[in-house]
Amino acid sequence: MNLWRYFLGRLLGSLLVLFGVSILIFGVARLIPGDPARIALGPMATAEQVEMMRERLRLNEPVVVQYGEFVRDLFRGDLGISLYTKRPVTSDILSTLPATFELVIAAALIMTLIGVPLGIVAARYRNSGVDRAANLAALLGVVTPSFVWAIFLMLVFAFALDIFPIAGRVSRGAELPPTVTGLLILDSAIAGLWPTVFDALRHIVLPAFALAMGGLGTAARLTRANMSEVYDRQYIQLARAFAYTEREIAYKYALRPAMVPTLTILGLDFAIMLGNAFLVEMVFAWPGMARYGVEVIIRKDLNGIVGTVLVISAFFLIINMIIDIVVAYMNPRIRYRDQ
Amino acid sequence: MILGIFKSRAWYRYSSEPLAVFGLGLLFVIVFLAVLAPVLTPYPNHAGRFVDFGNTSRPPSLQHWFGTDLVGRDVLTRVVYGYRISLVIGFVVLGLAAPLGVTLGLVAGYMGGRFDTVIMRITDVFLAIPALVLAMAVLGVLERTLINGLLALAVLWWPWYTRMVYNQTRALRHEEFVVAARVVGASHLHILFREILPNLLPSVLTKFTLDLGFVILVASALSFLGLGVEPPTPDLGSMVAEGATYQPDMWWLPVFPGLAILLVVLAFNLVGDGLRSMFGEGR
Amino acid sequence: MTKSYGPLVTAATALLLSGFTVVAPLSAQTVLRLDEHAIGEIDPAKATDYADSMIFYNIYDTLVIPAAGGTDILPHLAESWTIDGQTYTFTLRDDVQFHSGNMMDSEDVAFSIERKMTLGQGFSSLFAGVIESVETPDARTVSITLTEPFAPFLGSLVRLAIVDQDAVLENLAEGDYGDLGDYGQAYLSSTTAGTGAYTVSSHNPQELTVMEKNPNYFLGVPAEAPDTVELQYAIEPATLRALITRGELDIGDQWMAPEIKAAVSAEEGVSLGQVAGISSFYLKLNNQRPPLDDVHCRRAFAHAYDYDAILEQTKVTEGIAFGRRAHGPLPLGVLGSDENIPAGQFDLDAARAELAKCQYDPSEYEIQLNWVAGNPIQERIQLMMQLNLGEIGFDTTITTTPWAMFTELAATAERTPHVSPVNFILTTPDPDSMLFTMYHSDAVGTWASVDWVMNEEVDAMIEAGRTETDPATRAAIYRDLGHRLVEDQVSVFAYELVGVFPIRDVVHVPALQDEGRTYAVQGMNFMFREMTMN
Repeated sequence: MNLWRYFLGRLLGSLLVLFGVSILIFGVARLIPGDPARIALGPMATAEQVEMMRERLRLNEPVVVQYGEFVRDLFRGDLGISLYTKRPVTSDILSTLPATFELVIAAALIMTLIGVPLGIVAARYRNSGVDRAANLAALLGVVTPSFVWAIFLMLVFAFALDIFPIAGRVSRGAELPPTVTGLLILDSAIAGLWPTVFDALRHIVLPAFALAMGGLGTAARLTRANMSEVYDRQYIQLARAFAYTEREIAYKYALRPAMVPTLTILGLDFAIMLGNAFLVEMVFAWPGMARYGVEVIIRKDLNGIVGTVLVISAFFLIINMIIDIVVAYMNPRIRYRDQ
Repeated sequence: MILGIFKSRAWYRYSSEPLAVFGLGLLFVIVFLAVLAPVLTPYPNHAGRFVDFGNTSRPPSLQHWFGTDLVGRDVLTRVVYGYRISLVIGFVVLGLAAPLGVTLGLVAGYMGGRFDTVIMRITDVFLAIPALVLAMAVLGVLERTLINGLLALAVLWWPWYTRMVYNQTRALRHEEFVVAARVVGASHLHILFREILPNLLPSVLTKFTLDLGFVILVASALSFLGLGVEPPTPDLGSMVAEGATYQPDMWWLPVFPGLAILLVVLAFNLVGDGLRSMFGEGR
Repeated sequence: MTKSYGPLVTAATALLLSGFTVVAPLSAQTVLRLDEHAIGEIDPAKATDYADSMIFYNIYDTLVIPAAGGTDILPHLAESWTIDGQTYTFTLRDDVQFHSGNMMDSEDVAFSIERKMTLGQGFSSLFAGVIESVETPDARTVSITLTEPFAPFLGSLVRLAIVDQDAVLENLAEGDYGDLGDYGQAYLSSTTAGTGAYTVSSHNPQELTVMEKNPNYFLGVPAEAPDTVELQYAIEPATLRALITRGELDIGDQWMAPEIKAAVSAEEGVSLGQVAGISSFYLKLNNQRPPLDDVHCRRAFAHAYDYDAILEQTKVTEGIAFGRRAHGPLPLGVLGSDENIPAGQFDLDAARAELAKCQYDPSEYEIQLNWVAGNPIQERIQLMMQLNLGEIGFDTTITTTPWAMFTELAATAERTPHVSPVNFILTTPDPDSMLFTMYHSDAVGTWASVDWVMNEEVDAMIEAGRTETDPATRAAIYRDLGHRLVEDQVSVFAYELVGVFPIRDVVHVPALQDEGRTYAVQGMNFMFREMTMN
């Protein structure tokens, strides 16, 4: 079937790109000046210990051999030992990834559930005050770095008004659910711990908004632009002539075609959010990958850097693949064009 | 001569967007401030080697509109000087990334075949890593200097130009004027840079302007994560990061540099949008 | 048909905004929450940092322990010992149970020494080349023979945790040590196999270590001591400030900026605890790197440091500062410290006079002033140094280096910055742990020895102090050494560091809040069993 072939093609392409990413980031990590073994062993290590560690990290072998071993380990799900935490990179990442993922999903929801309707409203009332206000709001979302949003939101809603918690994922003393999905809110809901669900929701509001603001603006502006374009098309004019209500026109005829390009860009925004999550997590002390990612980079932890970048890139590729497939499903022409 | 611009058709189209005009005005103010910082700022020496332990952490006042920082430096002065670094970063990074990306995109799109495969696969790889993460990884590896920061940003920015120019070039390469040039025996170089490139310039210029803002934004994010230029050089992202640690007691430390970043990115964004309308791509 | 979600949304929003209070656990369990900067390493053979040490003294025990408020060494797991020349024979307590339920015996002590020295990490350097042999004539006797007389030996033992041999051997993973696999590294990096007053119930080195009271502790743990302790890592300063203010964190760390400490201590129910006399802060000068290989240039630098202005900056509140005037390398009160050692003087004219005697032309050198990221006071000091060194003609650049990278730069004299701020907290109660680590040629290459003194006479004095067993004579040697190091101006002796910790009223910490209860060892002041929760 056509869609299947398209899917397989995209899968293969993504794997190839991921392979390229692994070579790139592995190469970059090996360019690190200074001795990672020395950094890893810390202040008191002797020269022999450093040499032993170099052996263990295979740093004395040619880069190509190192890469070969790396790929072999990778297929066993082994990303090596983090020189920073001295624990397997895989378990380090697995322990922090769900929190980041939860935050990004929350932000994506906010971005879509607020951004797209905002765009729809703006498109329907083009050039009205609502449109201009939405446009300006969207613009502010795009041009303000997410860490600045984070700080502003924190200053206003956590410090000054004191309606949201300042940091963290859940309050002290909250009853924690058994891990099922790793997403705290979902797990708490599954376990029926409603106080924890509400507590966690309160915690996620500010960071998720800070993270969503950029994409929210883009989503609104895109939806507006694409819907405006669709509105100008003849069949919409025709629908108007047949006295369909504006509401029906908006949802039935204008939105669906307008969503195709919007979805594509939203996929990109999702990826940008994976990166920006680093910034927001730092401000809100969100226990996700950010601190780990920043620390491994600052400490020049070879395995940590490679693992973090690979995992994030893999996520990025998967999300894009899903978006592409959804878009292809919605708009079959794309399938043919890409083949 | 210069005033002639304002009578041109292009200006007429540009000026029909009030926000674009506002953006241009804002941009002029920012550039003006940055260029004339030594004359315009109240305490130019506070941008460099200066400490005054007797005047630290003062809230905004008439003497110090944006307050003073933890070693007694005037925040307003440092914000204005911060714009200097930001603008330099924006122009240098794109000055490196855009020509490289455009050239690669042209070559890949026009030549096709092996060039296409190799260049575009590499581009895909770069685009598959979130920009901020890639820049962090590159910067983490290099020593922390301004030059390296510029290089890291350039490394992550060229693929965007490559992809954009590649798509447009592929659309153009079978156009009549290109085919005609080929028939009369024009060299590839001529076709690429004299025939195809001029057609792409409006979109490249628009993207360049928009990106100036976004490069500044990403650069400030890197500084915020502690990968920016070294003190005492005023750097907006670092100022926000440092100031954020003293919330909420010293709110002026992160708020003013944060607003400054917002404004410069906004200015470039509005001007970029205006250009897009002017070149007839917008609606 | 249109459904209205209005009321539902309003209700949900109201719930969200109402600050839905989380119900505290039913039992009257007391929980102590505190924080530290760096990640915590819980393997006792690897632990070195402050956070590591905080955990170490709660989950493990050592043969001996320093007296609170002094430097005497008292029995702990060993109930007594005899010293016969270079042989130390310890008689162990027979009532000490590991967390596993195994009883501690001499085999465990021998195993712990063997493991520490084989892994060769952490504080194994304290014993490197010192221990000749370890004998275990019976279950309660351990005799350790040294290669040569070594006065700091007893003090060094406060860094030797006794590990549960059987538990480790049952939990070996694949590794480089033959039959011993990974020597229990994986096991001990996630759990504890010790005798301590607390056990580790969960450990995430990036985020949080949770410890629980050990009901079988051989000394017993008072009921008032916290039942559960949560040690959190790397909290952003603004968050930390809010957490303490809102009562969600009970003890802050000493690295918080003075402004933030001042802000939280002004809050209801927060006071400041202090640890003085066990640490010092130096601007270390790279003695091997021109122009600082000339003593006159070093003295010029020492005169360019504004002692009074920085002491003023260390003030947190009236009467409490994290800096005190320094007299030479050792904090006052430590064996061999001497308040007659002159304190540094800020004097740019004197600096210029010294510079005139220096063989180098300042205009030919660009001085690298480093500071460690996350220590705001260090940045301020370097900005001040930059200004003052500029006044006397030196061009400077400031570099910001994360701690881990700084330790890597410190490995060679060539890459060590000209000026590096360093805090040093006594790692054992013996001054040797400070002087040897910082100034002996055999110890160069670590963050603590970034002065690169490399002086044979200094080495000889440090060695004399190590092999001399009479305390009075040792003190005299260290006093002479102190004068010598100041005369040579190997570092800028900036200030004595006082640990200042914001503490909420819910907990009382004798070692930080009562006179004369300080332990002269990094991290030991956080023995949770001594604390009382209200």
